[in-house]
Amino acid sequence: MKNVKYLTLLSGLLLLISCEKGLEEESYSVFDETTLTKPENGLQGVRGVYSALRDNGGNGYYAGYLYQLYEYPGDILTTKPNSRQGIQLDQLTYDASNSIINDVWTSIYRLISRANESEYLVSKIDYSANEASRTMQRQHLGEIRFLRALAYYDATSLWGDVPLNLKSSSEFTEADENPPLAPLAKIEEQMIVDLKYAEENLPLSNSAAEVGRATKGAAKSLLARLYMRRGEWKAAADKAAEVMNTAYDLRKPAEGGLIAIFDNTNRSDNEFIFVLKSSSETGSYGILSNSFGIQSVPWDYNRGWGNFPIHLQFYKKFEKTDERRKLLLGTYKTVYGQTITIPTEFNGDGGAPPIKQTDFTYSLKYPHVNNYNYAGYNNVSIIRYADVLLMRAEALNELNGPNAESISLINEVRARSLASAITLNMFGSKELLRDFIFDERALEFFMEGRRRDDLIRWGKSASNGSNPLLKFKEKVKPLLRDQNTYSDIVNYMYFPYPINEIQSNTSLDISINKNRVRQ
Amino acid sequence: MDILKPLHIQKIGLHYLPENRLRLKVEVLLNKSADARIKYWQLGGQDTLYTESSAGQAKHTLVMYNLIATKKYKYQIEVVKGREKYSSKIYPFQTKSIYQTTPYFALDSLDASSSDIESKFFLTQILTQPGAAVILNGAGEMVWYESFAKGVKVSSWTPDQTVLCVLGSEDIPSSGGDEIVEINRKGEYVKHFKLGEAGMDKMVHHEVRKDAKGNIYSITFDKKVVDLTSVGGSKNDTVKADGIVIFDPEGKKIWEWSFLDHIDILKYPNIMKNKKDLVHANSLFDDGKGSFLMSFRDLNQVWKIDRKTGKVIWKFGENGDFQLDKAHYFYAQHWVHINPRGELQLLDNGTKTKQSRTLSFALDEQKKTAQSRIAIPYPKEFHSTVKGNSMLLDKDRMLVCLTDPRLFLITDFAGKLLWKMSIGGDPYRIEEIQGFKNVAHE
Repeated sequence: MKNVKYLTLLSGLLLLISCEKGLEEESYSVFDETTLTKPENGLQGVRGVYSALRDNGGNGYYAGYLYQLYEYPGDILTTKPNSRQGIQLDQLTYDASNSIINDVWTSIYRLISRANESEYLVSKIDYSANEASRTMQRQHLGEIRFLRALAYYDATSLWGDVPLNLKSSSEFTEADENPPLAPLAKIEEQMIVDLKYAEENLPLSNSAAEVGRATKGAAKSLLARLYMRRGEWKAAADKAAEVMNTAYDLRKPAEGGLIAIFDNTNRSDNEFIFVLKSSSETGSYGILSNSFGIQSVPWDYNRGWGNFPIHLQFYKKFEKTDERRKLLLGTYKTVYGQTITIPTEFNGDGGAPPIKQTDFTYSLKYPHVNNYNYAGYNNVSIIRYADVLLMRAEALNELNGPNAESISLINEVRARSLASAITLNMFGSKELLRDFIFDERALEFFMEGRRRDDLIRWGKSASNGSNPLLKFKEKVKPLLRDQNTYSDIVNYMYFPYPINEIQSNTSLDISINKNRVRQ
Repeated sequence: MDILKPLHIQKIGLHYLPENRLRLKVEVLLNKSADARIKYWQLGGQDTLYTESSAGQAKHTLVMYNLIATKKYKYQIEVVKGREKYSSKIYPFQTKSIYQTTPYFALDSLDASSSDIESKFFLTQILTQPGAAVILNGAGEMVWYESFAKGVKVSSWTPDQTVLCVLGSEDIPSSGGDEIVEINRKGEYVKHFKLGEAGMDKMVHHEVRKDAKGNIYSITFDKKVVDLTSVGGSKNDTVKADGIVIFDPEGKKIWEWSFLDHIDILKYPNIMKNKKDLVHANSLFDDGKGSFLMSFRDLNQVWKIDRKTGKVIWKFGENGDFQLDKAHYFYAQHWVHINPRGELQLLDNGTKTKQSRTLSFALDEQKKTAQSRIAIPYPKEFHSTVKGNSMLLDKDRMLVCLTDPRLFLITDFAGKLLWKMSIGGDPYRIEEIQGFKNVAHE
């Protein structure tokens, strides 16, 4: 019996031992699904930065509000006394609490923050280990930096010194949560670094399906625009020349000219160097649309809201044969059957009752034809080829006075719209040609967000830098409904810093708005 | 051989979730079926937290929640089968930051006498897009959230330890939305009602609550097409007012009520002026005794409505059925409810007096008299014309949300400030919640 007991014990022991040998250490893995490691995540980051251009809305940033800050206050666009928006900006009665000023600032910094996060992300992804090329990584970085430079361009044009933030939030110190204003020169330095990287690493062009993405030409053109703003005429002229005769050209009269560019069925064009694309698919409203269309035209034209009336004096500036005048509402029949015209004193058709003469004209650059809904499909031009030509023309004039090349560049733009040609002997001085160029820019670029920059640059050039508001005051003050709202101690070159930023940023206080608003 | 093999963990996978920074998922593979749960604690913290126990399987997915951002934790998996127990090794994890450019919730002050508030939990919401339901602790830290593409217009805590929300885009007015969602603490959707599906044929607004039977009640946007030609309107004019809806747990509509059935529309004063939002109902409360209390902002009144018949039993407030001293009139009031003391309590926004206050009344429903019990006025600079709420905290303190100044407060009954938080957006309500903390129930 003893042996049996021992045997049982032994076999039991053996059983135990063999079971224990089968036990393994618990295996442990950590999956950080929040850490992005693939090149497609890099592309997602890049897309996120592009989407910040419209700040996810029908009105955000380039989809609407930004151009209000660039076109108001100005000498083209105005507001009606009962307009629901824009009046404060148009009539110089704005202050730091103006909602558009606050909104655009937020949109700009949202884009900058996404750019910083994406730059950090893309820099950390190993593209080559994932069978994607280093070229693609450089392209992604180039796009991010181009967009960040564009956002800082807008921020500095509108506010001058602004906080300079280039870090991802994961690297923030407490001080970064409340950044102080950085000097304009420092920010422009960074913009130049970013744009030089972008022009080096972006492709010459994109496929039709990728037409909204930045290119070499976009980076060069924006750099040219920055040099123009800084008064660096040679650098600007040279940079503009680098864009000429590459991937872009003017849309010719035979192709429908400028009017065809803004047609909302036009999906892409060689004249657009950088453009905000919109979508007409269902569900796009508020996400992929823009707000210009329905806001530009009056109700009785095709049920628009008429929020952006344009002075009749501007209509008069166009030659009658200039095709660009067709981008302004002239004679039309209302939805109620009445005929509306522009008075003859402004070169309209005039006419006796029952014809009604209008007090304003309206832009047709962003028509919402064929859709009664709030989503606009129109492309919003950010940089186009005509601007490159006119920038070079202006820069050459500033350098050398009236010259054949400037005249020829201007004529290219005018000929495309069947306006009359100019000749060198029409301009006896740099000043005369400069004034002509700035008037030409108004005819070409109205409602494309260029006017504010142009008026300030015009004033700087005309006064040798001593009085940037020279032309602004000359053009804007007479058109105010109450000229007393213009104050000579306010620096209209920059908008006031938004109250939301001053309140939430402990490095700023209300004194930074001292000469930016009427006291 | 399994029976003889001791209970053991084979694999553990810790997942940081891309959709939420305050929840982590752990997948556990055992060598046989058993029950599993996780024990976890913050380094330097006081509490030991536990996930729900997952029963009778070899593969488990457990969720750790009630976490604070950028903190270090340790965790251990406990497995049990009958009398067999097994604990894994102890592993670390670290929560990530919740990125915001400025703090959305900031604790401004906490009186030394009230440090117990720090260990309480509060539910609130982010109305703007993208929205979120958020749970904060009394130290002002987020301990739980669930984000949505739409704004969270209304939220409430249910007796089942779940969060009930009304979701809606920013352009739906009156704290309104087209979806109702119920989520548990693990982030699972328990209910999801959408406009146009099942029984939800109207948008809802201002309130969503679960009653004792598990039914969901809410306020609806109601309308009627009426011939208003006799009062200066058109033949097919639309009058918009409010209603009540009750859904069963499957989303089927089991009861509804409409304000428009209880008035004579043609005789209603200022019908043409107010027909787009006749009375602006803004809270609904089931008193547990067969009635609803409904608050109408534009009438400065509270109505008691019978839950079965829909009959309006009485009206309380200005021009109501109760004798009420003018000093006790309330204006544009919010969150009318019966407090734990049995009193009718509300936040008097005080749009007429420009001062907001918490009021409670003991109502004698037979004699139609009302005795003022609690009356706490808040500083004039804290006046809120819109939204907001107040509820009793323990026995002697008041928790308040004031939307215009963007504040959460706790005060004593004399109005002394004990706790104050600033919010980065417009809060709708704050609610103290019980049963959120997941400590062991041995």
